[in-house]
Amino acid sequence: MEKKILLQVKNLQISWLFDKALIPIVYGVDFNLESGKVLGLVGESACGKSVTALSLLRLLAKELKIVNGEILFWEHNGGETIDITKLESRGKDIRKIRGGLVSMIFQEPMSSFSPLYTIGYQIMEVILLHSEISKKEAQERTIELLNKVGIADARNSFKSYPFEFSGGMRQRAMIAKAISCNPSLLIADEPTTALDVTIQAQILNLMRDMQHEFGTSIIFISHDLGVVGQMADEIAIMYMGKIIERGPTKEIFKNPNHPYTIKLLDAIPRLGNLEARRRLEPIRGSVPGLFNRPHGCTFNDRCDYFMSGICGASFPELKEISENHFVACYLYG
Amino acid sequence: MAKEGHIKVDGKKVQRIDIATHRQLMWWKFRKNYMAMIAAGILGIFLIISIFAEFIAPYSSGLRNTRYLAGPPMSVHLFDAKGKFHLRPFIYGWVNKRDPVTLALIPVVDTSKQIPLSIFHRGESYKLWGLFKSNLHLFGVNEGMVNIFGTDQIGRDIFSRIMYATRISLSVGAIGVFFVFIIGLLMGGIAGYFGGIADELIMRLMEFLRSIPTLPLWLALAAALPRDWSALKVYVAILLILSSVGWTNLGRRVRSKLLSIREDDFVLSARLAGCSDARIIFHHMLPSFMSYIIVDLTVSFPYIILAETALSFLGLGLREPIVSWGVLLYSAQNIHALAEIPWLLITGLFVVIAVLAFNFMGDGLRDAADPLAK
Amino acid sequence: MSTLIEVKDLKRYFPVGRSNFLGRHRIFLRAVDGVSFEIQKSESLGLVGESGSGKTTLGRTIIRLIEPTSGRIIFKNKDETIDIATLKHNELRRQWRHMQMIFQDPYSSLNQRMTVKEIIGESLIANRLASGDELDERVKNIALLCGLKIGQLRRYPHAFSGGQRQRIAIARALIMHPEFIVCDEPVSALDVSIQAQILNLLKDLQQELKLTYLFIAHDLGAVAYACERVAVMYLGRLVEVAVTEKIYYTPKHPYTEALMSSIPPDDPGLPIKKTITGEQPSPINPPTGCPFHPRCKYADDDRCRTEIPELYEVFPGHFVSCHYAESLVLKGALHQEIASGVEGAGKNRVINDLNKRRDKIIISQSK
Repeated sequence: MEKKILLQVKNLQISWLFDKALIPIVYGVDFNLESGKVLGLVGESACGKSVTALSLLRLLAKELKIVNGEILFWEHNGGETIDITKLESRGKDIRKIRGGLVSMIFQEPMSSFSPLYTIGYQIMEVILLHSEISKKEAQERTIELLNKVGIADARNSFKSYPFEFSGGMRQRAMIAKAISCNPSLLIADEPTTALDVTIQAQILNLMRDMQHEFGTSIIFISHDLGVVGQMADEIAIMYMGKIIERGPTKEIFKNPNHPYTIKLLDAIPRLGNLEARRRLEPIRGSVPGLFNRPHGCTFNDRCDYFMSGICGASFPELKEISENHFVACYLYG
Repeated sequence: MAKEGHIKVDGKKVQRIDIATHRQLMWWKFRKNYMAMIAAGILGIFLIISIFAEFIAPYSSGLRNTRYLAGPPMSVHLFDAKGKFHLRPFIYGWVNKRDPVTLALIPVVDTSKQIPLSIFHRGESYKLWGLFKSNLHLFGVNEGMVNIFGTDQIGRDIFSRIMYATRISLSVGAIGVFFVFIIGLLMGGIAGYFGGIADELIMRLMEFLRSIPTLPLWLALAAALPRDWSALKVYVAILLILSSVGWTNLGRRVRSKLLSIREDDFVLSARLAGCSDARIIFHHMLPSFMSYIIVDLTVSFPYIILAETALSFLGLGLREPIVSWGVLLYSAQNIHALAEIPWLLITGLFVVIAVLAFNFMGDGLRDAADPLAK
Repeated sequence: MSTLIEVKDLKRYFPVGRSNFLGRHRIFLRAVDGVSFEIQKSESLGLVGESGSGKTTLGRTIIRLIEPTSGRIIFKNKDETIDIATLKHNELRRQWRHMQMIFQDPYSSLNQRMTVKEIIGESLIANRLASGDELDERVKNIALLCGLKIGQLRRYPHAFSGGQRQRIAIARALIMHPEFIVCDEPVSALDVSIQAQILNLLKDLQQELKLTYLFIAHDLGAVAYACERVAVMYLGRLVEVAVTEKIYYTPKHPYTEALMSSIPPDDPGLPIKKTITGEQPSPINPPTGCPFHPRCKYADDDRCRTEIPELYEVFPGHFVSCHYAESLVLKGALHQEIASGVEGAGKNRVINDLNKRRDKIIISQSK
């Protein structure tokens, strides 16, 4: 199959305007996403994964500024390339992209639906905004979508209000809304974190089915490596605003290279071999605060392989150590 | 936040914010809000005025300048009519002249006569807070009288009267808020902590009080005060009337806060630690929302001041010889007085500034009450 | 091993909506609906279930932070046997020295206005059991045990990260040397890398202080690691109680099987399992018969729809409430030796490789 690049992020830097100073939140992130693929973005809280995702739609809060970098988006049918960082954040062009070419699923689906309108109306509204069809057709399409995402009795559910839905149902409706305009890219920000484990499994299955059916590219953001492992073709691991390792999912799980990735995999309780009941291997310390960013490699104060004079100097470059597998660590220099 | 720097504790470097108490955090946040800081400054000046009213006012509130009735504000000058600079500020003298048409006596400025102002002037004697005898005033003149805000119909100095009125009006606010605080905390606390029948009764009482239109209620209560009561008795009675209605807001707030945090983790955790009911209420629950109550009280301050002003303006509140802002405005009621003596309205300016300052400070406190929020 | 806590037919119903004019409620939410189980001394019993299954209510009712509607909670402490459900207010306050709780969110469970020392030592301060140097000493000892630094005791909670706050909360719970601790989702508010630290700490403390835990969590991985036995709860009832390995690898209740099949496998290369459909019904209006029957793929006769199955012992130590527990063949989580490159033999290889690389670079630097 021919590789078609859909999205290319180059040296993206985002800073937080605090007390008249710019505090870096995202510190030079690069990645590519091929069309039809799923990229998993993994990291602990405040590592910049959600901020990165929001910047792709220019939905950042006003204290957050993109200070550098490019977000290139290929519009395949038109053949145009758009640099999203150059667009007006309230302009017409970005509105065309939001919801149309790129759509988003959030962690808490309650807050992404207005409580004042029915679920059906809100999905229909998106369809009407981005395509030239009649209201009647849009309604039929909405019901069809609700059916597809597994909402029972879609015709009646069309008239339900968000509070009448359970968390899992709302997340299904959210997915229906997100795929209603056949987006080229779907950004899912912790879509299952608020859900119970059985519902999480249902939603993941649904997302996988939808992805196979529509061939949508997905950026899947989560703190849970296990969940991302199920969904993603490729995983990028972020730590303090930087991608520190990136590669195909199986490769990351079988052959992790960055000390942080290794530790992260080791810190998850695994069910494979309970009798052994070994101790978990935690990562010592905790993520430094925004104002205590270490010099050089940001992981150096928690790393078991710290090399004085090397790791404290500057942040290591992402290097390709095997095909498509990148690591930012001086051990692989 | 990290910019607050480091200090030394037990020989070790410690981030100041790490050992900062909640109150310190609130202050750091509050002082970043310029409007609130300005408002606090203005209220500080008002506080000084009301504490040292006798000293700041050149005359007592009843002293009449019989030769200067309904006289306009005297402006204080540094340059005389010839443009010559004088280090000592001075006022011009005046002469009473008859209007050729109405034949009424009108004071007219006489630029030939300069009366210098003296600072820390020894003038009328008074007893500060009714205790310390003194005759020292912030400023005054040796010849005649100085009325920088003018005089009223019978020649009393408006500036001096406003200084005394500031003391009375702010004290009405402060004591009223204190009563509101006590009643509100008690009633809300009983309703919220014990619940059950007490809660039902108190809630119904609050609803009843809130359903009565306040102004007619105050009017009725104030009108029921015997006319032969002394001014001081009336003052206390008015305070009680105002706070008897004003506590419902605070009571409601205290009750709902108590109800909502009764099941909070930190309260459960305090119960598990074996704390007594009193310790849970006073050590854990009350402090957790005390800052919000202080905000509420700050905002209710101007309401009480305005209520007193309204009552007195209608002639049902405080009475001479006690002067409050409302009493002063009472004399500016008729159109004649307004047209002839517009400087009577300077009092209104004080009311507006005080109310605005309280509201701005309340806003600042509200933001600071949650100092760790972004 | 002896029993520390014995819960018998415990119920907690919450009234729903407003009472009628006689002050009586007609609709109830059955958060805990007839639960019986035992906790052994020095064991860690896991309690898992979806949100709304009543696991948090059960945990809080056992230490009577929530009043039980009916049932008995027998606490066997040294020589005396107490029914916690009938204790008077003052006796309960004393009993709480023996039973404590660790809350989910260390941001809301610590009073922001107290220093860490006051927070940890509150039981001693509030009951005037220690002061001055003795208080300092006891607070310091317990703080050190929980991995806090002595120099940090003067600080306020806002100076700490989530993991450190949870350490403070643990130290607070341990200051009176309780025997029994309810851990209510103690790691689910924390970052992945911190979760392991806290789980390890809880485990060390258990061994050192002979603690007994009721470990409530929705994260099946954390429970598998932390607990010897696990109880599975569904709609206010226990559906299965057994040793951890049995629950995970050979479950006997269809709901347990469904939970296990929902866990993402350790290895992303493994095929994805089919999970159950539908969602947990409301505990206000639970289904008749077996509460799980509307979602159960094995339920197809009237017995499941009408008759509530009792919790009974299928095998020694393995309790299930399912009419067909003996005949069903169910699948558990995948049992396998090496799940990824960082485990088992693979792990040593990875560490050796990293160390070798490090040494090589350091040597080349020094030249």
